[in-house]
Amino acid sequence: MKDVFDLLSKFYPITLGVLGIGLYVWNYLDQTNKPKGWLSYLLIILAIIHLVCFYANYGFEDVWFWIWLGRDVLVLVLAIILYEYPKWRLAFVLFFLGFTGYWIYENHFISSEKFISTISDKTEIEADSSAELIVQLHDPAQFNTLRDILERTSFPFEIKEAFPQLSNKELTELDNCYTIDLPNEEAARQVYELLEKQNIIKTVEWNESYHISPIETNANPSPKPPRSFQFINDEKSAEQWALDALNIDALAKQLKRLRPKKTAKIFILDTGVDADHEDLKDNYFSVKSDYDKDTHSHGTHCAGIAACVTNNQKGVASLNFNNRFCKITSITVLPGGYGRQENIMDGMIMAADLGADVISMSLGGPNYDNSQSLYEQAVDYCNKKGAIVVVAAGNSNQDAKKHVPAACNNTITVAAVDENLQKASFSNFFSEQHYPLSAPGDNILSTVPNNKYQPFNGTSMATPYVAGILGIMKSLKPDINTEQAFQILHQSGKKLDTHEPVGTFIQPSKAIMQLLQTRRTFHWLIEWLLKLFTFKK
Amino acid sequence: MPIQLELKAGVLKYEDIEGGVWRLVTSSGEHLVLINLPPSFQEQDLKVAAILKKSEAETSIFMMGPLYEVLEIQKI
Repeated sequence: MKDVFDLLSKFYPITLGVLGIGLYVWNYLDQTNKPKGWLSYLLIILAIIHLVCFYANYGFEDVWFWIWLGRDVLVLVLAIILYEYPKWRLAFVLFFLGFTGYWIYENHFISSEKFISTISDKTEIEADSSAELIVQLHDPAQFNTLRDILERTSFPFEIKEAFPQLSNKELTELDNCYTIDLPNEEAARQVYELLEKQNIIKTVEWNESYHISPIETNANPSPKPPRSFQFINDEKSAEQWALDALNIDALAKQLKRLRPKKTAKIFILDTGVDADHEDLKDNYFSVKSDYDKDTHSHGTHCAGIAACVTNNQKGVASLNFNNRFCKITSITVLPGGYGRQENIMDGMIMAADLGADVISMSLGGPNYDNSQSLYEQAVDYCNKKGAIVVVAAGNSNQDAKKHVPAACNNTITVAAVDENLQKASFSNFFSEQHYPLSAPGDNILSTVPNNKYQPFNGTSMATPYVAGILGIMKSLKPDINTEQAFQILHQSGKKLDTHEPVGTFIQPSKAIMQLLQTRRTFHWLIEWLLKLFTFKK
Repeated sequence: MPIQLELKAGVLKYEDIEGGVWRLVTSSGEHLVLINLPPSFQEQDLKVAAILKKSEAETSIFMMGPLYEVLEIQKI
């Protein structure tokens, strides 16, 4: 049902245009005394379809439903009124042509960015729960003044009663307390400084419940409540802590309405991939049948992390929401789990020649002699062919510069962190890498051959998470290169407080937001002019 | 170039990394990744002596150090 609504919502602006043109024709037939009975029925059906699509796009629960419904009715009434004035008929036609043209423009060029800009007040807040303030007013009657002050800032915010469950409000002033969710800590800091100076504020504090560090203990941890995700229905997703850490709900909310410009191809260079796995096969394309089997499990595991089939009520989930952004394939370079550097480089070149957008390599070896230089030349080739190469940092708890291809200057290199967002004990760390990042790599549940699922540990597991988000970025902005992609992932990522540096921890929803915002500069004028007539809230 | 064989003694350790890997930890603190440890020897903390050959394969999914092939192995 959700898919049907998603589909209908896409037709919403078209139905408005068709309805307007239908009214125009109806008017024409009416004024020239031609029969129009059939058209009347058609218009009624169109109006019903339009309302359904309109509902699918906005939903009753949203205040925007009524605002934009009013706008559409106004447009149609204007169209009818204008028709009565022959001089204005041309304006009416141009108006609807413009409407339709803008719709095409919007959906093919800027829909992604606009969606982000309009949902950012919700999604961004959810992406960083650490940015919450708690304020106490001298008088609850000053709530509207507080809201006005917040609205004058440039930050999206959510404000709500801090203690709505108070049963004896007369015994406390806590009913004067409100929590303010802000998109990030910097915004919260600025708002904090602003509110401190306001006379209406009794106290303003950071909501400390979000700043408690985990207490180290040797006792068995109490079982965590099962995870549930709003937009993910895969059977075992509750066991995937990484989805929580990567805020997959916020990402799914964004991706739900974005249209990829292409389906990105992620190449897994590994031990092969079990292409018949129930949670992979619909998202897998083959480049050679020899590569579509995996006698080891490692490659299949990595493939599942990068882009397994998500929302199929089976197995695990990946970042590739609803499977619209990426496909995966395999090139077997380490059939038994180990092999020669030449095989890896051959695989890289083959992947690049086959149009890879992302090459994921969860492998490595010691950094001998000129091995780094050779790898870098192969990576250069891949980059020139449009592929981004992402590699594992290695599992020796050493500086990753001692390992290749981890040490290469033109790869994105990924370290592993555990569920407490600390460096995984085995993971290599970074001192000189050009493009270091981190991702979940401990106790990662994913696909293994024969329709099975197992948790693995390793920087190999962290690497395909980064490959997965890179694939989505490539699908939305195909010409993005390694440097640009890294900068987005780095700037939008979470800074971790670890003993050894592991790079910023990727935050996919924020990365997508930032990716799309970089494209906005070309469209700001049009967006501003057409703000009132945009089709999506 | 002659094949260099190494006689090593130490303790076998299973590491739950990358789907599982066996290493020989020698008394001098070396951690050698064994790529073909026979199943009958796959026992945690087993003390063994082995004749090893450094693998020509320098790259692996384990990413934990040099790889060694086991040519001969026995419990000690």
